[in-house]
Amino acid sequence: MERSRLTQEIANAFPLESAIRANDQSQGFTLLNTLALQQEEILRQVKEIGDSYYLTTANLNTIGNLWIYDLGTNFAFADDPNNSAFSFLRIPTVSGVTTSGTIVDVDVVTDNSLQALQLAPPDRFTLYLATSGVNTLWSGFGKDTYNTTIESPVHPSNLNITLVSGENYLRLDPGGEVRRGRLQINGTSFSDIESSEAVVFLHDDKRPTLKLWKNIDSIAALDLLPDTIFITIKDNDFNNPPYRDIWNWEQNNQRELTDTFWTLENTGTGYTSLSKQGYAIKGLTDRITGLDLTLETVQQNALLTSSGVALAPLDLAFKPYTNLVYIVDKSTIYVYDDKITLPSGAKLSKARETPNRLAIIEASTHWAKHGEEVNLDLYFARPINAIIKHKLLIEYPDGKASGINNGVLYTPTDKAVWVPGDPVNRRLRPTETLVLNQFGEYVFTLETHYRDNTKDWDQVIISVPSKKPLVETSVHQLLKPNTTISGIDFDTLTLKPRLLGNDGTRYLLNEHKDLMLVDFSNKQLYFHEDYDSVRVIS
Amino acid sequence: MATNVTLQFKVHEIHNVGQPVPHNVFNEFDQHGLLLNLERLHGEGNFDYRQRLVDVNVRKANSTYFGLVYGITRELGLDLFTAIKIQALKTNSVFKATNPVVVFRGPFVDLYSDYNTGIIDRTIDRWEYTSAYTLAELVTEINKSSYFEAVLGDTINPYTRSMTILNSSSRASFSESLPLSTQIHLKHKDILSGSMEFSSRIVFITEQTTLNNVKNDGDYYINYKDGIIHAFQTPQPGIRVTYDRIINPFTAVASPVIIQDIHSNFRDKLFIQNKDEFGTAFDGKPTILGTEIINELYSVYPEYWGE
Repeated sequence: MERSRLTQEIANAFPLESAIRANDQSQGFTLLNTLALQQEEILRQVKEIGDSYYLTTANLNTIGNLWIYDLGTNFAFADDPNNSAFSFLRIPTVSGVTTSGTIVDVDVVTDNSLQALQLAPPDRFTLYLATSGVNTLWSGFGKDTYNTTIESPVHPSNLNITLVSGENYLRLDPGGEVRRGRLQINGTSFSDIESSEAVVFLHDDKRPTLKLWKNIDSIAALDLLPDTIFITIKDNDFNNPPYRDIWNWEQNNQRELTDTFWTLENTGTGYTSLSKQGYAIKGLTDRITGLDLTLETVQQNALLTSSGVALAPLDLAFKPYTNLVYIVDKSTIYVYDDKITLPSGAKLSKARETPNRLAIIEASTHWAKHGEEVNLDLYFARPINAIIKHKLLIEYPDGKASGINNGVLYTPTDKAVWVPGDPVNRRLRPTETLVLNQFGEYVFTLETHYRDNTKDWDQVIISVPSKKPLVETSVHQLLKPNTTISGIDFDTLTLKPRLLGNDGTRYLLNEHKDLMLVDFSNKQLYFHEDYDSVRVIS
Repeated sequence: MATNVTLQFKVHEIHNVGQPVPHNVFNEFDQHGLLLNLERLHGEGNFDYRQRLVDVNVRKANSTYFGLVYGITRELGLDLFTAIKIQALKTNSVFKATNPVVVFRGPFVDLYSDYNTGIIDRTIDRWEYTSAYTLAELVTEINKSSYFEAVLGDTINPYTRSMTILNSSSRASFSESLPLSTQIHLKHKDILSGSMEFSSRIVFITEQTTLNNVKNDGDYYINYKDGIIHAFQTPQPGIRVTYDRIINPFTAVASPVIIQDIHSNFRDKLFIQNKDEFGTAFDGKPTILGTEIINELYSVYPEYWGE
């Protein structure tokens, strides 16, 4: 199940000791999660509508054109008793001939909705424009920003500015005035107007400009002390981690806002993970002295190819206004979703039978990396009865099961999995450890029998998350001969994906979705792509 | 999904084969279009439409020459482009000519060797087939001058008509306020000599020809090449200076939309020019082109020509 970015914030309305707030495997948390997912979708749309107030920030990937094909009044949709989603009518089999002469089959989009069409991942890519450009427009120290020559972007672009000094840039000057560090850019914006923009920095950070810059005449570091601040200005975001989460809405269960980032991380067992990390921020003070904050990893998803083998990714980029993340290796684009998972509540049904259980499992974590060792402690949390025996069973992601006793695995029915007797203290047995070598959800079940012939169950899920791509497309044929991909970002002028070749060439790509909408009443097909011709088989 | 497929079907099962037609889906860009009175062209994508919408507030449409060119170019979904780049040549980083300025005016291109005194090195006709009709021919003609050098813009078709270049000039006017200093660095270099005007002449009374001669109250010297004013006295606050500068290199912007004013420079293309006893030109009979245009106007407006 997908975990919403907002669930924890809603759950934080409850006291800290309550399971709904503290335990993301509780029934309450799962219930709130379904509501939070809806709220997240609403907020996504609100942001998109807000951004559409300005031409420069409006989402260029909003659908503005479709291609209609009229099936004719004589066309009759065939019956399909199994297709309840579309009024028991059969979707015609449609193929399109692309402008390059390739024949592709065209599917109907999920729910037959325009919104789903807009958010769907692309099916293929073609080359829009190949250019060369310098990777860094300017880099140097703050004191050098006057009287310096700066390269202009190859085409208009938001600029990414990175400051590194180890200091913070908010201070009181001797006159008692508050000074904020700013980097001012003067030049020509993409609409051919002479303009300037000041980007405010409170601490070391990577920040984009709001304007799209066509030419840069000068830059000036204002109130940026000391002189040793190292400034980098880029018109791209190739190989430039960490990448801030597009939405950045999250809280932890201490009600602290979490500044969330994504990065690619090698997890040590041959897999590379898409890692979601956050700095908990209590307030402005934390933000400006942010260097002392500790990084919490929210979740790491091992990246797999569609055939299930480990991916060797080079760079990632988030597609604006979507939940899609594009990851590249040397020759292929992989499109993943950026969802992190919440354990499936259905697997905890045994524990739900005894909500007032006396013995419980405490797991060292609720998710683990592939090959990671996890610890399980069994406690007599409410010692108001006498225990006769207990056992700890493991259900593996592949469906197999076993019992564990003192680190030794047995078949679940083996008598050796039972540990007899009442514990001396609250700990039922020494810590059990297990290495998790499968992707998926491990379900741990503690079954405890009491002297009054009652028994209860507690369950915990530890997941080893992984991701398979929604789309995997080799783009090797679009690159120059004998070159490979070394980075990806989204071009801020066109919002198209852009690849960086290892020879420095930039490839701006068109995205194509071979999808259609079906208008059953008017007998028309709406295509996302401009096909030279389409063939419809009823 | 988007895998390439080998189609296997029976002919009688094919219901339809044909080409889809574009259909605009109203979105937030069209809302901006309503506010700016600029409709989306049929089948136009968001990116191209946004470029045109942004352009509405930058290159405003009105009834002036530029207003018409900008407005028509935009409404038709066409683009302005950099046609040629013209460089005024230098020797030892000093202009070969005194004040080299290039002016596109109607069908003519004037290459001034001294703009102040009105000395024209060459005038090129870009209307006639036999002269600089295409951009490539215009570049060749400009390069015949010993003071200028021209190259075609990037990815420009050399056979594009040279009349696409908008009326423009490599001379541009600027205005700025003066700092309280005796040595004033202007924002621009390559100032056109004799073009400078001060809002107050109290400390700028006598222009000296060398820096060493700036010795008395009211003396000043202008380094036109580097854009520096040396004054004997510090100017008072609030004084502004206006000046012309030579844009070098000059990029000539063009539009596929060609608009000509038949009342001025274009007139001799339409009417044979005669002179009266005082030497003043007046229109004679229409030329062949003039006749064609008059006939066309006559067919559109049911009025009598010349009455």
